[in-house]
Amino acid sequence: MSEQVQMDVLAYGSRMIHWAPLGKLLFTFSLLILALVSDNIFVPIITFCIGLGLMAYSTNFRLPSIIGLAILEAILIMTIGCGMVSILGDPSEPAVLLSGTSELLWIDIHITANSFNHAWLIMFRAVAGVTLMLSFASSTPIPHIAYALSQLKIPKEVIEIVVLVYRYAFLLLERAEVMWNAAKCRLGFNGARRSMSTTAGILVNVFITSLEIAERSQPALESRNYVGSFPIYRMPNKVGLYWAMVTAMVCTALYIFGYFAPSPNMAAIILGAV
Amino acid sequence: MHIMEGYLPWQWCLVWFIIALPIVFFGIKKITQVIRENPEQKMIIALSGAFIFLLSSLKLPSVTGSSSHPTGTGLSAVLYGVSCTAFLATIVLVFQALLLAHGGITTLGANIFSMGIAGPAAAFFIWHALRRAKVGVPVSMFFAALVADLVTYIVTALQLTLAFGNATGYGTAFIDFMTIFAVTQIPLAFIEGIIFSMFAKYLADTRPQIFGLEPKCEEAASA
Repeated sequence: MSEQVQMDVLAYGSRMIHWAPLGKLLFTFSLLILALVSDNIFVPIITFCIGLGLMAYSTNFRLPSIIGLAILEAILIMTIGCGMVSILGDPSEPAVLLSGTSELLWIDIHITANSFNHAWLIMFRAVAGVTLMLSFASSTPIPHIAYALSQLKIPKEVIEIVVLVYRYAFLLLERAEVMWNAAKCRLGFNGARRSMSTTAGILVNVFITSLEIAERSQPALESRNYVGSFPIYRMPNKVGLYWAMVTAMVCTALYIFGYFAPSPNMAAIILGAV
Repeated sequence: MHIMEGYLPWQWCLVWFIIALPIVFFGIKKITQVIRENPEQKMIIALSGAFIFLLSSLKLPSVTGSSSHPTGTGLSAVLYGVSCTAFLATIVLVFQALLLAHGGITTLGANIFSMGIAGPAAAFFIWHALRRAKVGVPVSMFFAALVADLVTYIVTALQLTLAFGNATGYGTAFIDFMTIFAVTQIPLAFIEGIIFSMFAKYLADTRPQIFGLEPKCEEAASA
């Protein structure tokens, strides 16, 4: 079963499928923005918990393997990215991990309490963002996203392109994977020069195949009464005032909490720095 | 070279959204007009977006809160122009953020600007300058893809410097981000340039009309 189909199955099987797509979108974006605006580490930690809770409710954490791998890869990027923020401390502040400014290759390493705390803040924001975005994506099939976009009065041509890009992206990924495996079986990646030539050949074939699919798809869809949108047989709920109220209440409560509660000092907790 | 969710301060997220949105809106207007006038073009446009998705999903982690990958936007800019590429890149970046945790929603404006606008614009100008100078399709495509990749990475390094350079000094931070990116991105840019040069050669041989070239004699005779 393809990854796109797995993602669609996951979304159609979600307990949150009937929730208003526009409401979920509003809630997710508001929490992402709130986690970004607040400087208190507790706020992204709480938004992370909300995202995790929604993901658990929506999917029981049954994510397709490719999505799981992508998340692990994203966490690796986040970790090294936050490491970079922590070593770019203000040289006028005292270092907390190494005794003064050290060098790794050409980079000056200067970890201060502020840069270390900032790195953790960014890490929690990033992880919270991933769980929130995935809770939305894993509970909202693409026709529902298109429906939400239409409620925002976005031109129907744009919505159609969004839906078609989603469908064809996974189709091309599958084609590329088949060609990649076939080339590998024929020792097409034996040596750097041959690898590049093979990769170029695969890309051309995928591109030409995509043009052929484009030429065939239009009449094929039209012959099935396609008029620019894919139908939804069980419509999700419409966004109501309660979505705005719930979002506003959660965001206000979190903002007030973040404003008044002291942010945890990660440098003191982890490194024992005062 | 997608900057991850939560990595940029909100002020910079806002600035990059304000800069990117007008160009994306222009792209939307242009694509809407093209589809209304030639409905058969929509499948090709959608598949170009899917092709960008495919290429930019092949990522390598980079030590800067970002990742290195081929952009694929150089080809799209050459074939469809900068504003259309900006719009297609926006769709691709939203899907990658939502489905693959690659990039982010609050950093979308910054990512659109680097990958969907700055890189493609540089590729577009290089391609047209070289083609006017009668340089062949494969060589022109090599430089277009190379420059698109390099400009995207320079702009991403600049975005990260503006966000995090105030503590160490902007010059030092820019050099740090550029050099760290360079480890993965410069070889990748050359590889992408070579691959797209071969790609353009194959494409010019099999579908010359895509680049506005005349078919070869034997093809013309058989046609």
